[in-house]
Amino acid sequence: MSGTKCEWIRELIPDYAAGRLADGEKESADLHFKDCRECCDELDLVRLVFSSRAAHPEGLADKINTAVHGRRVAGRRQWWGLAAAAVAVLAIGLNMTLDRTGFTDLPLTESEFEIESENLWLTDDGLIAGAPMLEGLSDEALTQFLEELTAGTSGGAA
Amino acid sequence: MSDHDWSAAVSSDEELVERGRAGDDLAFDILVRRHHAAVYRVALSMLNDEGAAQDVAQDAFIKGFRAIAGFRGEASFRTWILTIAANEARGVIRRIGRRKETPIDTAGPMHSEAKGPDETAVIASEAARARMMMEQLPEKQRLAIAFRIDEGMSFREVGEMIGSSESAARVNYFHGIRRLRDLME
Repeated sequence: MSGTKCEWIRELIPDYAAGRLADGEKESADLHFKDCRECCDELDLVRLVFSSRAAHPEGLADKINTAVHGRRVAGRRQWWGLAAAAVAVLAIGLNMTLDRTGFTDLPLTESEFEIESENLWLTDDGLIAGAPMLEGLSDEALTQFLEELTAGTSGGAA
Repeated sequence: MSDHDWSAAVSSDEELVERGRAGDDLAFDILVRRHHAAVYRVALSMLNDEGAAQDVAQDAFIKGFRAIAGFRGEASFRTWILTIAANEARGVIRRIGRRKETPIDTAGPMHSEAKGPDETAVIASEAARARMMMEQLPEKQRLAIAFRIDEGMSFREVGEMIGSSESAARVNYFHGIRRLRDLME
């Protein structure tokens, strides 16, 4: 056999032994093996090596996938946790800024407005919102108000 | 199997990588199923320790998928993940100091002629013996044989795995085969 042909075939032997050769190359190799003892011996050895390759442990793919998913989920949770923390910090910061600039008034619903209206004591100047106007009250009404106020501060009437 | 599952199962590695990057966990599942055996064998060839090889296979996929953004497709995904596994295995060898040894004296006698009803058993015994004899080869020769025969890597890929040029990988392979033939006789 020509050395060039043997060199070419020997390069192919691992793929031949593993059944990885295309049909045309396999036919060429088959023809060569009929006449070349040296390459046949090498093929036998390579076949032995290939047939003894390790089998992977049962369930290894599942084990790897479980680990991969675990890490990816943990990574996503960490990411969402960081994102949530960032949003919370941003919200607190924004709230504090708005508090300082007086933009925290939220629109009231109709029922909330009615409750607010009932409890609202009108003032002339509006300097102290919610403070009672006492000047216009009669003595009788003032006494009643003071009694109510006293009862309120002492824990309320029974 | 849903259309999505079926589509993923028949996709190329490159398509699966793209899907995985986009958040498709099933794509990574399929890549693991396709390549975990080769990744495990590469690790086992280097470490000669089944438990450590399993750990390396797992770590290789975890690290590979974590770094998937850096995979630019210059090599195949298979070569890329096998290279990561080889690097992981080298790290283990560095940490533990040396590769696990296999006692050669457990190899049975050589049978040059395999005939009769026990032929299969004899071939299996010879195959196991060949694998054990590989342990006596220098590391690069042993790995060149394992990667070329077991995984069907090209000599260029073998060279990348063992840190040699393509021509050096070829020389290591053929020297190793010649030496192995001598050891088996």
